[in-house]
Amino acid sequence: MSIPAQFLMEWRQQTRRPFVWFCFVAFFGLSFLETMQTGIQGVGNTWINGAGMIANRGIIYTLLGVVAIAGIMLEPFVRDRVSNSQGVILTTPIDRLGRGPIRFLVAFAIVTIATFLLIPGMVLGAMAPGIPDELVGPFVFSHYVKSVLWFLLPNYFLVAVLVYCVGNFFENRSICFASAILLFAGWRICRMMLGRDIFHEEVFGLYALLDPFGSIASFENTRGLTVAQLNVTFLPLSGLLLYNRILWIGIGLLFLAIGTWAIPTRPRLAREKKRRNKKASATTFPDKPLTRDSLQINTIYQFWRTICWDFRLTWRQPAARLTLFVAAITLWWSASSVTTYQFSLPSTDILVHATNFYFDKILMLALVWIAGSLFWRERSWRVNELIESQPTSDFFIYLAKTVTLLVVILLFWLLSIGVNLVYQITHGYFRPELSLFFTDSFVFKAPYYLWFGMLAIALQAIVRNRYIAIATVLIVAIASVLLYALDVHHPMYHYGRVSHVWYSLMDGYGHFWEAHLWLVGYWTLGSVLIWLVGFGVFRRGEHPSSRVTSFQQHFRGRFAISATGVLAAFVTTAFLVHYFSTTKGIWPPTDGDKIKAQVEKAYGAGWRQRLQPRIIRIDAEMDLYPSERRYRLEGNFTLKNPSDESIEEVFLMGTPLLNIETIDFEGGAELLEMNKDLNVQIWKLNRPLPADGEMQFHFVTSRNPPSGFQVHSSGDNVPDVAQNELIENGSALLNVRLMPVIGYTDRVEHKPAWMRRKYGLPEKWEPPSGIDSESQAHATLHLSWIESVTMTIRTAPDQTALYAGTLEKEWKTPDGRNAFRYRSDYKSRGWSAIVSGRFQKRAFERPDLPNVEIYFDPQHETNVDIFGEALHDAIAYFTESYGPAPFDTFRLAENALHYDGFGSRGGLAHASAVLGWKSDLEASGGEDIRRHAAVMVALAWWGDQIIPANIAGAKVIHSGLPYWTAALYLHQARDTATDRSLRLQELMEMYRGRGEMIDMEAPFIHEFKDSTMIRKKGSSLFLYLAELVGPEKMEAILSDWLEEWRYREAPYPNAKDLYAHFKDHLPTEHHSFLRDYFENVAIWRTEVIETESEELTGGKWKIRANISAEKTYISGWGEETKAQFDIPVPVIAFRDSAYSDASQLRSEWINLKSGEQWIEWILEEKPVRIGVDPYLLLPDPNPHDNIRSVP
Amino acid sequence: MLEVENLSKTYPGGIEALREINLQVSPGIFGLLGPNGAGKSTLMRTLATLQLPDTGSATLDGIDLLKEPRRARQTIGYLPQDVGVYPRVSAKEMLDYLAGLKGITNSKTRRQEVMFQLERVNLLSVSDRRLDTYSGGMRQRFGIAAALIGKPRLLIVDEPTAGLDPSERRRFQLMLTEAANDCILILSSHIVEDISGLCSEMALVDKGRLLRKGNPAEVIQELADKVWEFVVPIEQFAECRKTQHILSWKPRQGKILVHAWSESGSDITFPKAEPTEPTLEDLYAFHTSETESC
Repeated sequence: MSIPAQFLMEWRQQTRRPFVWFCFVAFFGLSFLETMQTGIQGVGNTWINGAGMIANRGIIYTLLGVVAIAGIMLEPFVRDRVSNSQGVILTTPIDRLGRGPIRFLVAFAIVTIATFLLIPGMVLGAMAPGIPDELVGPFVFSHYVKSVLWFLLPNYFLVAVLVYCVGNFFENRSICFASAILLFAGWRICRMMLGRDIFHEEVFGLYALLDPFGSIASFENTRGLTVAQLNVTFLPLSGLLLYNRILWIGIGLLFLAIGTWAIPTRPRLAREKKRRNKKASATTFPDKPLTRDSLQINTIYQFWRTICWDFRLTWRQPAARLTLFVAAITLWWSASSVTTYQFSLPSTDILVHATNFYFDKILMLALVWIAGSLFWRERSWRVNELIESQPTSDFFIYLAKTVTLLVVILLFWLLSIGVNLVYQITHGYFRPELSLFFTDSFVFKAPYYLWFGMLAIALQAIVRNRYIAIATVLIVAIASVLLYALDVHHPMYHYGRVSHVWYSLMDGYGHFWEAHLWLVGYWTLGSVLIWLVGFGVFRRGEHPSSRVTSFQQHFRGRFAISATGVLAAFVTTAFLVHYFSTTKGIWPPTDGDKIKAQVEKAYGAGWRQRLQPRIIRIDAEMDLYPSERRYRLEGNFTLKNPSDESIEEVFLMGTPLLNIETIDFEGGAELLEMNKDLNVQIWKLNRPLPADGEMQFHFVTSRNPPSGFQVHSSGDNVPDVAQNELIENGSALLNVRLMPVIGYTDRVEHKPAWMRRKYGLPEKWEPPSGIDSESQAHATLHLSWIESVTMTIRTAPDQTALYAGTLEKEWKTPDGRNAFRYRSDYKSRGWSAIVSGRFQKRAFERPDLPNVEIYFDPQHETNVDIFGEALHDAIAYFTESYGPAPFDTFRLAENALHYDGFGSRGGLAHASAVLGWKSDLEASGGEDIRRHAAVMVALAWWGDQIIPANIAGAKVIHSGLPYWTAALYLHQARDTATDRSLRLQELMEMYRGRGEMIDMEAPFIHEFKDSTMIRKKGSSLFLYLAELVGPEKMEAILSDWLEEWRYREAPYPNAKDLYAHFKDHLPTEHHSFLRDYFENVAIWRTEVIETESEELTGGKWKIRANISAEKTYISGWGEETKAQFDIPVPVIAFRDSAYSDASQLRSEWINLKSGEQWIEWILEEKPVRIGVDPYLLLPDPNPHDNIRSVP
Repeated sequence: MLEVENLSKTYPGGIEALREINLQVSPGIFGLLGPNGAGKSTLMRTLATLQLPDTGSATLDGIDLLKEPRRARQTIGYLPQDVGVYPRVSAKEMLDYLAGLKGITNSKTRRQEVMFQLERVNLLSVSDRRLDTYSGGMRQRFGIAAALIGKPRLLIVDEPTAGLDPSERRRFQLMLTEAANDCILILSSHIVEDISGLCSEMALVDKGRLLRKGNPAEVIQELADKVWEFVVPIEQFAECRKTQHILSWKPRQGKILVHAWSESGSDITFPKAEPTEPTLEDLYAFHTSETESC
């Protein structure tokens, strides 16, 4: 047969496979739906058809397509064995070429077609309605082609040749699939070893090469790019990516050669496994012949035997064991990744969070596959008639298959517990919390898969086609994503979903139990109902009756009663779940962003410029009932009119769901308007508040949980616990959220243009300006300096309540509750957390420093001493550098994971249970705790002593100064190598985040939004300045500034004041840098391009280094404009590979200019490396090229 | 006694697999002879309770096979035409499982029964071997062991000897003869020798219809004195096929030995035509093809 004829024959074989056509449709559909979903849910300005997104899709579709590609590729190489046609084929004149390369080429042509079908899917998906305009850029066809050529085709080629090789060796489907999955596992290993959120930069190059799909290598060229650059710049095929592609294509060609060599030339005989020589047992025969009467059909016995049989067959499938193995590996990765991220101990509450990272996908695929196998394997192996002619009950056969699948699912979860326990033990953690493992696995997570297991079995019976049933289950599973995109969030409508909740060590599953149990009941009944329908149409035999006929035949007797009963119970439960979660509960979950936008729309124009009274004294009492999750706050504000005009009307606002029960103005007032939806009230004072006048304002607020129960979805972007919601243990509420807000606040205004457009607001947003705004406190608009605060908090008998200020009194109320009165008679911001929990307390004292008190969950005492020391060290530094502390005692409390993050106000800080409390000191050396401590203290130092003016640039003082000074402290406290390593990670993290920013980067002098760039990039620039002029100088400059503005009355300082202060105290040669620091968005790139060395007489060395320097200004979403590089940069010659003073042969600050420049040094010895800005003081998107070895 | 009355089945697409089949079968081997597609397997599957007919009834010693399938299955052993095996499972394990389903709940009894059946089909020495490593004949023998587990009263064996070599086939025929000692064994085949050699009663079916029923020796008497045997040179065979009603033929020493049907022999145009004893094969050919068979 001619070669073209062989091609043609093979082509026909492939194109007749339904699977191939399924893949064509699936590839197109996947890219279409996925692009559409990304667009509909997208935020910011990242184009879904931009270069960065398309390159990213190349990698994502690689991962999603691995199994499909393996399915296409393996068939030609297992076909002959599976169809028992080896003898026929091997005796034809078709040679190795025909059975190997030709089949491979045709199959790969099919793969290529499927790959290119991704392109129209992506293009059409980006055109779908509902995608915001800013997320769609101009179509650039070359981006799509490059994505295919750089990633998809090389990666699919690798999968293809691996399957080809393995297929020729083993002619076995399962092994082929397993090999493809192993390749996928290789990719995961590389990603996990590199780190999940924070990369281990020191091994970046290694894993970039080892990653078979090139995803890590792609970061090299993209992580320094801005949103705008990522939109238009497709990453070049160079550097690590090029080497990676060459390496893996080379390996692929090797597989191709080995695979071609392995093409079988004669049929392979099934090999019998060598068995251990069992002791031959004497064959016994019946003492008396078996009689028919002795046969006892026992249904339960048959059921049990069938389950055991099904389970045994499942277990003996190599693919099943391989899947378990892969699942175990992914569980281990998940455990290692989560502990890497937080430097945390592998405690159970942390590991159970991580369990589902990848495990869920493997389990879902495994269960649908096993369901298909359980249902169809008798037919596949042609034993169906033999088995079906046995005297078994249809119901118990169906039930046995289901139970087997459910047992397998539970085994997967047992495996997850086992792997996590082993992980804990191997990492020196010996506190197995089995009850938490079992509760989280079997009560919260496994039910979802059990319900899907029942669905998978039922659909096999209903659909009566293995692959369509599998596809249907998978469609049901991914339908959630589409439903979220369509704003359908209630878990009732997402098959198997329950109310989304995370376990918190302090709060457990909190109040989410009720909703969870209701939804467990709902979905259990729902899945049983579907399962019963499946049984209704289930029939044995080759030619079963139609589904309707089968159902009618089954629908009688106990089955009819059961099905009707379950249907009735399901409908009733559905009604009750709906009623209690929506009518009696809060549904949809309160979307704070939406309410804010509505407030701006309704009241922004009228009230933004109207001066309102400021609070100058607070006196309040609060009753917390944590177990009932309710509180009541009764308080009194002293209001003052800061303007020179009288105030006649007062605008009051409450946070969503805060119940403002009573409002009472001194002298009386008339309610002009009440908007319950937005929680806004407008009052007309009976006696206008005169200029500079004061008045009393009495209020009562409360919050009670709804009488129904609360459900959440994982896709609604609404926090599980609202910030003004009380939980049972470990609450951390912000006081200003529990009290009425006086006056309109621009905090309700959305700033990014895309978000304003989303909520129908005018696109352009301007920060407040003018003298009124300069006299208004940023972040706490209705508060000025508070002269005195008294807060009494009564809480549960076993809880401690904390508030800013001095603990004046602590007592038991007559009903046995704990009461605390805190008071501050000095100037304060008036803000504070209200913390309540079952705490243990530990106090730390140091001479001449405020005491430190730590309130922690008794289970988390391991790192308390480290926290105490770190806080005291930071307080000592800040006291020495910037003057006395603004608190007499610094308290740190642990709060439940249900409130994320941490805060520090008025000398009271709180940190979530996962931040530092469980830090693995062996891994982190306590650095993460020291960082948390430094930031908490710095926040108090600046935030409690200076009120930033509420104008553009406010964030420089509000967020910048605390983080910058904390960074300077840490920079000096750490050893050089640790500091460099940690800041390198932070820098890389910052640049990766910059590529995903959802708003434009603004010069610091104008920044009004809370921006990570202010914190992280600002810290880097501040350290550069500190190294340039000396840390003590910078500390002195800031100390002076703080002295000047500490507790200053309005008008308050702003970023311009700080900028001017820097300029006044730093030499003029640094003003250019200061301008870039504050007035421009600039980045600096430096690189050692080349080094040379020459030995001179006398043992000296002439060292030359070619250094390039570049400065660019960023505008918009990241467009770069070149500017003149005009600052000095440290250039250092190192004698070894360490980063320390002892390693430095020569260090010099050199004024670099834009472009390349050679420097020449004569040194006493030959350096090993030359580095430009080796300690990474400047925010350089690619810090890895800053150092080069000397030849 | 197995009684089948008016059994009919039409598949979607209009194919009439069974048309008004009526049978009464007593213990012993009952043969079902018919070409491929005659409806044998449909009838077998129906009797094995794996398929429902459109009309008709089937009872076995008073048990309604159609309405009480589970009860019926306790008394039925079935060896399907195209039986496969589980991979990665030994013969002993699978028989043990089937024995459990058949109601042998006592593990010792079950073990003994499994060993007994394996010995009976001469597979005892390979009872621990994986079934997927068995040869075709071994699989068939295993299949009959599986069908015999639990002492069925009705043993249904569908085309069991297809693909077996002569010695395996003989061994298999012996096994069936032994197995039919105390039960009804329905053997379906299109191989005439199997039926003529083994069955005391038989039925000839074609296109879903029951054509003839009875003792093989008796039913062939229908063709008595109407089958003529003669020898035809190869070069005249093509002409012979056109002019004679050939029932069967076989090559013999460079010529063709032909059996042809003729009412009186007068229309046989070839010399030396002699009347001969009809065979079951002749009857089969006469009713199923009306032309020839080989």
